[in-house]
Amino acid sequence: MRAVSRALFAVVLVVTSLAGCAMVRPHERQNLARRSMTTDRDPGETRFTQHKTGSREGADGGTGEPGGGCGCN
Amino acid sequence: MQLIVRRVLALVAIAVAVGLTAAPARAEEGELTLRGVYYKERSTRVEQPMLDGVFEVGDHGTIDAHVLVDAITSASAASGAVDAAFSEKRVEAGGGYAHVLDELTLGISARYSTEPDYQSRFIGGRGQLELFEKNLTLGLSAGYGNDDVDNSGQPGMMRVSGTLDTVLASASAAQVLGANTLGSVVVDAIYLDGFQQNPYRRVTVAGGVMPEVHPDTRLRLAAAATIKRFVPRTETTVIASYRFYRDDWGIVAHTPELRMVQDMGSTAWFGASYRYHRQTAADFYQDSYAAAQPYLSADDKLARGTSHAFGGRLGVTGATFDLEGRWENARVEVMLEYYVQSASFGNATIAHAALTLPIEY
Repeated sequence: MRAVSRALFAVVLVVTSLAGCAMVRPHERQNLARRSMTTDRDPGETRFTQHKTGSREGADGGTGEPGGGCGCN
Repeated sequence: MQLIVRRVLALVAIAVAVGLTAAPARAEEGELTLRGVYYKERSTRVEQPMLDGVFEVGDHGTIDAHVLVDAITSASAASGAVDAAFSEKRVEAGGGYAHVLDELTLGISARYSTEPDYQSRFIGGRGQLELFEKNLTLGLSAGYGNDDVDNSGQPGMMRVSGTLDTVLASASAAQVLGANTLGSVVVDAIYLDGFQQNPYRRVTVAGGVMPEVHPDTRLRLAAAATIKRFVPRTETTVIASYRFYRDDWGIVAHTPELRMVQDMGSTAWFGASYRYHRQTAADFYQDSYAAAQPYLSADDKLARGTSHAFGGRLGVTGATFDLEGRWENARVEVMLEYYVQSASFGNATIAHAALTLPIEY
């Protein structure tokens, strides 16, 4: 539980500091809208990659998505 | 199982046909991606066809759905049945809906996976809030999963079965750091409660063999940070990420990754990636056990180890070949990856081929 508290504190710290970053206006975002900057991997590739590493490594997560879901452990 | 596979393949065919024949009138938009993956390591081969779709619904909604089939052939005890080659098919389907309410996006999703000795269900919800003129995006998500597992894949074994509950909580923040730079962090907490050992695997203990026994509960924590930067002069996108992981079984892992995507004009691109993973062993994991202990494992994933993944990709759109209409923006992408791991599974070669077709309806 202490680790969860530390992680949440880190998120709050990062978010608080990011809020002070320079503002980029909508008309300045054409490069941010490129596919390579938004989803350079499509959902199927991401899902398979997480499935692969989740069944071959002891670590999982960090994607906001559930791993597992199969008997390949 | 054959019936399920036939139905899934029929569903894929229908969905592709709908995508190909949908009237190109100006309306809502969507995308269908048909992907095939081939995975091969020393004793295991996986072939996975999958279909993903994402479709606009009205002015504020988006539906996504996927269906896939995992065809697994293995002679490895670590992958399933002990000392006997086996083949198995897993079918998975999932979908979700997201609704935009000004700066707030709310979404739900569900997933179901079935194979002869394992069924899994997962349902989740998420919220995403855009702040400071969309320069900062905060997200929260949560989900619950329930799995059933047994050892019916190996007749003759004494029947073992169990259930596994999974709870996921995740928080994320993505910040625009400049006109060409994005940063994001994700923190996941995953709590598992139930049957977590492999029902087929056996552990050598003092010259004999015993069933694998893992703890019933596991708290997994992962924090990942990603920076993406586009270099206008060369039209190169560089993506660097790092994930820290730890759990209460004693595993601590570090996973940095570097990717680049190089645009070649507006219709083609290539990319390269490298991922490194290093982890410590679970507290109860041993190469061999001199005496019985409360927890016993022969799972190589719980051992101290490293892995390296080297990848390359090439993509083109239909415009590269002067195609017109709906095919002009269709994308074809192929990817190759070589996965080097210290675990006994052996190194792996992975190949992907994907066709993405934009549709209007």
